[in-house]
Amino acid sequence: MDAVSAPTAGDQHAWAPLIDVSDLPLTELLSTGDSVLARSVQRLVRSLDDPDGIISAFQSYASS
Amino acid sequence: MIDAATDARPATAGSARAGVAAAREAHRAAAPWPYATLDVAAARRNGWQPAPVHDIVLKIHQRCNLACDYCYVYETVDQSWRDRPAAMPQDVWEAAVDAIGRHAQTRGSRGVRVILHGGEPLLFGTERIGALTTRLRAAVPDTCAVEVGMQTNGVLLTERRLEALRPHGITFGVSIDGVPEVHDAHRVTRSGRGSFAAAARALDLLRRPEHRASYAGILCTVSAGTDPIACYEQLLAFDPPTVDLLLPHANWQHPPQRPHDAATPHADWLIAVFDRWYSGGETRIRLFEDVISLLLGGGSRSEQIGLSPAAVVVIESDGAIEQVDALKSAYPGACATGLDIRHDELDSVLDDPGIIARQLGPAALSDTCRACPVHRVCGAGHYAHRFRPAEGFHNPSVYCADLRKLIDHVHGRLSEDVRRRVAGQVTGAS
Repeated sequence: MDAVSAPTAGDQHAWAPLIDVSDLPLTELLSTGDSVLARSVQRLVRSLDDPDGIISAFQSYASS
Repeated sequence: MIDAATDARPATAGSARAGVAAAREAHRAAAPWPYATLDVAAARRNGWQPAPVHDIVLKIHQRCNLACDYCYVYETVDQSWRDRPAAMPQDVWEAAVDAIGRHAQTRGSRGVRVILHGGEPLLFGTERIGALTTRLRAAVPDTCAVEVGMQTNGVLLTERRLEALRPHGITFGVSIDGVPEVHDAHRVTRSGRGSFAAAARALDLLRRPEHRASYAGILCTVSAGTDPIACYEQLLAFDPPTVDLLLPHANWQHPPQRPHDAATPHADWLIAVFDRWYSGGETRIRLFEDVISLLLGGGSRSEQIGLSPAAVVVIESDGAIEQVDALKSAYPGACATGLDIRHDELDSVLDDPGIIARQLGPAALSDTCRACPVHRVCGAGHYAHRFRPAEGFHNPSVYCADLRKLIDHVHGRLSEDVRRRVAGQVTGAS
C-alpha cells in the first residue's frame, strides 16, 4: 500500500475553505469578461435559481 | 374474471422483495458500511430528504467494440456483464422508457436526463436507438425537459449515423485520452490496434457546424506520468464544448498506478492542466469548474468532487436497476439493488442504503474526512474510490492526497486572482 496516497487527516492548519470575495462587488466579478473566474461566478448565480437544487450528475457522460 | 396482469403482480412483487433481500445480504458482507452500519432511520429522523432520480443511464448494449485496459465494466472485479443480454431486449427498454415517463409525471419533474450507455451504445443500432428515443419523448409529459445523451468511443459515429439520429435530439460525448500515443496505449480494439484515429474522425464530424448541436463534449481519463499540456492541447484541437478529466477508477484494495513512485502524480498532472486552462479558459472543464464553484460556496455537479446528492440510476440490459456502474470496480455485485425496471418504479432505489449514502452529504463521510478542513470541497472524492474490503465506503478517497493538493492549488490560484482584482479596484486599474 506504499503507493497509496495517505489521508491528510489531522491537517488542522488554518485554511479558509471558501474564497473571500467580500471586498469585491459582484458586478466587478461578473464584468471580468470571459475569464474562468467570471464564468464561475455566473454559474454560481445561475445555480441560485435552479428549482431542482444542485445534484451530482453521472460522471461517465460528458456534459457541463 | 381474473386479470392476468393484476394476478401476476403479488408474485412479481414477492420476487422483487426476495431480490432486494438477497442483494442486501451480499452487500452486508462486502461493504458493511453502508449496508450494515449506516443508520438509515436516523438519517431520516435527522431530516434527510431523498433527491429524486434525475439521471437515468440505459445500458442499451452490454458489449463493446474496443477492449480498453482500464475499463471498469470488463476489466475489474465485477463480471456481471457476462450474464446479461448483449443488447437490451425490447420489453426491457420499453419498460424502462415507460417507467421514466411515469416518474416524470408523478414527480412533476422539470427535467430528466437519459444517457444511452454501454459497452458501446451505438452497437444497439440506429433504428432501435431512434425508436427508443421516440417512445421516450412521447412518454414524458411536455412539462418535463428530456435531455438524451450518449457516451461513445466514437468508432461507429459516422456521418450517416449522425444524420439519422439528428432528428432525435441526441447529444454525443466521446471518450478520448489525449494524444495518439497515450490514447492508443489504452483504448484498443480486440486485436490490439489503437482507436485514436477513429475517435478523432468522430470528433471532427461533431465539430462541423451542422453537427455542433449534437456535440456534448469529451471525457478524458487522466494518464499520470504523461505530458498533461500535450493532452490538453490535443483535446482543444477538437473544439469541445466541455471536457471532463476523470481519475482512473481505483480503491484501497486496488490503488492507482503511481509512475516513478511519485506521491501525487494525478494531482501534478491535473494542476498543470488547470494552470494552462485557468490562463486561457478555452473550454469548460467540469472537474475544475466544480472545484472553483465549491470554493466560492456553490455546489458540484459531478461525482468526482463535492457533496451534492447523486441522483443517478443505471438500468442494465437485463432490466436490473442498479447503482452507478463505476462501483463495479469495488466488488462483484457492488451495483446491485435487487430491483427490476419491469416490476419496480425508479424511485424504489431511494430505499437502498447505497443510494442513500450518496445523498447524505457530510453525514456519509468518515471521521477522518470530517476532521479535514477541505471536506466540503473534496467530499471524499468519487464514492467508488473510497472502497476498502471488509469495511465498505466509509473511508477517505484513495486519491486523498491528490485531491487535497489539487484543491489547495486551485484555492491559491483563485485567491490570488481575487486579491489582484481587489487591488486593481482600489487603485482604479482595469
